[in-house]
Amino acid sequence: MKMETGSNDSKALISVRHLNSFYGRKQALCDVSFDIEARRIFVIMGMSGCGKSTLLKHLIGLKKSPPDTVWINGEDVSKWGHREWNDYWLRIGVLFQNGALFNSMTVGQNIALPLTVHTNLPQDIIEIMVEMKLHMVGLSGTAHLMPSQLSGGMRKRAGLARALAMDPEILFVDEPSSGLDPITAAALDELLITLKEVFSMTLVVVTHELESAFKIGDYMIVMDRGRIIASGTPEEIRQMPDSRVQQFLNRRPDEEQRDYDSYISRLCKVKRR
Amino acid sequence: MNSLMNFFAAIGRWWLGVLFGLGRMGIFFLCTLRGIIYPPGKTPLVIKNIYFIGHKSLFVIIFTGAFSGMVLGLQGYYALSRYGSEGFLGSGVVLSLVRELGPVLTALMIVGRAGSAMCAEIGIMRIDEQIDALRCMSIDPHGYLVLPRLIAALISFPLLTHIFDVVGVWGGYAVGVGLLGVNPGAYWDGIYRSLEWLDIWMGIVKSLAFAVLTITISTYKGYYAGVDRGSMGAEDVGEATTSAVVTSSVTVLVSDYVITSIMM
Amino acid sequence: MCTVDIKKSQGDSGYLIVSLSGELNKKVVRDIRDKIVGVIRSSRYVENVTVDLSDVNLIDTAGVALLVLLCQHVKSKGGTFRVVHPQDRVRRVFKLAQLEEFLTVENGNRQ
Repeated sequence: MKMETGSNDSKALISVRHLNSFYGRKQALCDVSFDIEARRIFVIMGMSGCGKSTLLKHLIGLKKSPPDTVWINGEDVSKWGHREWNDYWLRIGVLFQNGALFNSMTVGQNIALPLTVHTNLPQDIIEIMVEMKLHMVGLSGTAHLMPSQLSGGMRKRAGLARALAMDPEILFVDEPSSGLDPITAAALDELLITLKEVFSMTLVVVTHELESAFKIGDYMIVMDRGRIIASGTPEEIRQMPDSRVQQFLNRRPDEEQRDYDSYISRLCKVKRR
Repeated sequence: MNSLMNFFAAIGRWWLGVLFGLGRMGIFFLCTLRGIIYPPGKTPLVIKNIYFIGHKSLFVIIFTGAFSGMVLGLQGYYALSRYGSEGFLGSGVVLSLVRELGPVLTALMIVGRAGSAMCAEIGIMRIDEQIDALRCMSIDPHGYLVLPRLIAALISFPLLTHIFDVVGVWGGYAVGVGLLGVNPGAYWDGIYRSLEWLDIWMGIVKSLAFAVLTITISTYKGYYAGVDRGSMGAEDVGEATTSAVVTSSVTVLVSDYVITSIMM
Repeated sequence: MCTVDIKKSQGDSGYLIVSLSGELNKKVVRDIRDKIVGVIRSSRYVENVTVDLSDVNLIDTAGVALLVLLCQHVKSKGGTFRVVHPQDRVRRVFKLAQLEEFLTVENGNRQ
């Protein structure tokens, strides 16, 4: 995988070059570089703690990016002010891990919120739009319920409906399938693919579900401890000889091997006492 | 030698932390004010919050107001009767209430009730990523969550304070005149003679100042619950709420002294 | 940008042909709704409404919702509603929302 240093690829919607990210003194991202093409599904994979959530935060503007690291639509986002970020946020949708629904309003009101605040659409039209989005995610007829009355999986799908309310150009999804049963997860995968094909959406999906990732991804990066250890199309990744990649793909936990000796010695210490 | 250095370093760290917090709270407040220029449709929210702070606190305020007035009547009577000046009970009660006890106790009661609830509510939103969700929907959380609460407080605090004062005066009357035999005419006359506009202004200024301080502190603590530690759990909300109530209460008492010394 | 052209019939057989062109998105939906509903209200009765989408190259959820609203409105008055000549992209959106039947989407010949 070759990455151009310096200027970004003009074809890419989002470009990241040599991004380093810190929480205080702890480094969460190390020299991360990649491109996200428009109208494709870009998958970010990795185990917990590998930095994918931090990366997502940089892409959606919740964490400040240093200069010359992140470009969106050819613009360096470190130079963006309030207006640029607000314009950007109007054109994207974000699904957070637990749905992040607002507890004080109904499901329908949650989905309608961006429409009510940002458009002059009349109430009757908004209600129809809410029903359409709910139907799309398989939650027809739940508009009047409160978020606390939904199961975790349903909350996530409602969150997706809200992320789609404004028909965004880019959809960011944090762990779409976690907490969903296989059938619903598969339906969701289908929906994401349809969004790309029918609505020409660009999707950025953070996940650790391998099956889902390989099914929907056009391009993937695999992360480990803040670094990208592999990137490419699903077929390319599957055939990579890198041991860490293979280990991730086959879910082989090797760390346990190394800890075995210290485990035994700890056991023995306990016994002696 | 090393432990001495560590000691100073710890003090330094703590002080820097305090400054950082104050600075961030100041920016938080300014961002909230910014929401006045770019309002994300919040009029119904203001009304809802007035109901929450004001209406729901009404019973507590009336109750504590009555008993505060009654205790003032009691204490005042015994203090004044020593010099044969029971007739001044009315002025004693009303001035204590309007200048001090009304604004301060009202603020403390509301902090315990509404302030802690607001902090918890916003804190839970923070740990559930709802505040992030608002930002990514291009809805400024300061304008949407904090500003309505602030405006509602600015309206509710003075009104509740006045109610506290009035109920307190009646409480003092009930004890002083009703129980202890002070001349009713002297009671009301004392009030009429001693209460001045400056006293009432002082009460209003204090209640507005307390409103701004307590609500800013409470919402700020909730907004940043768990953020510095990077954790997103229930303990962070609990800690933020406790901190909000304690800090707000102390701030009310300290600023009470400051305002009093400026205005007296 | 979206332009609306409304042809109303004369006489007793009330029909309405609404031709839209451009992008039918959330920015324009309110104005278009007001225009069309205004015409429908001002006529004595309207039985058949046809919406011609041959010049509409982009439609979003708000646009579809507008059509649904009009369709509800007309059908509740006992009239008929149909959508004709949608472009491929637009037709796929109707399909995804499962509204082809409800809106009576037809690909008839251009008149």
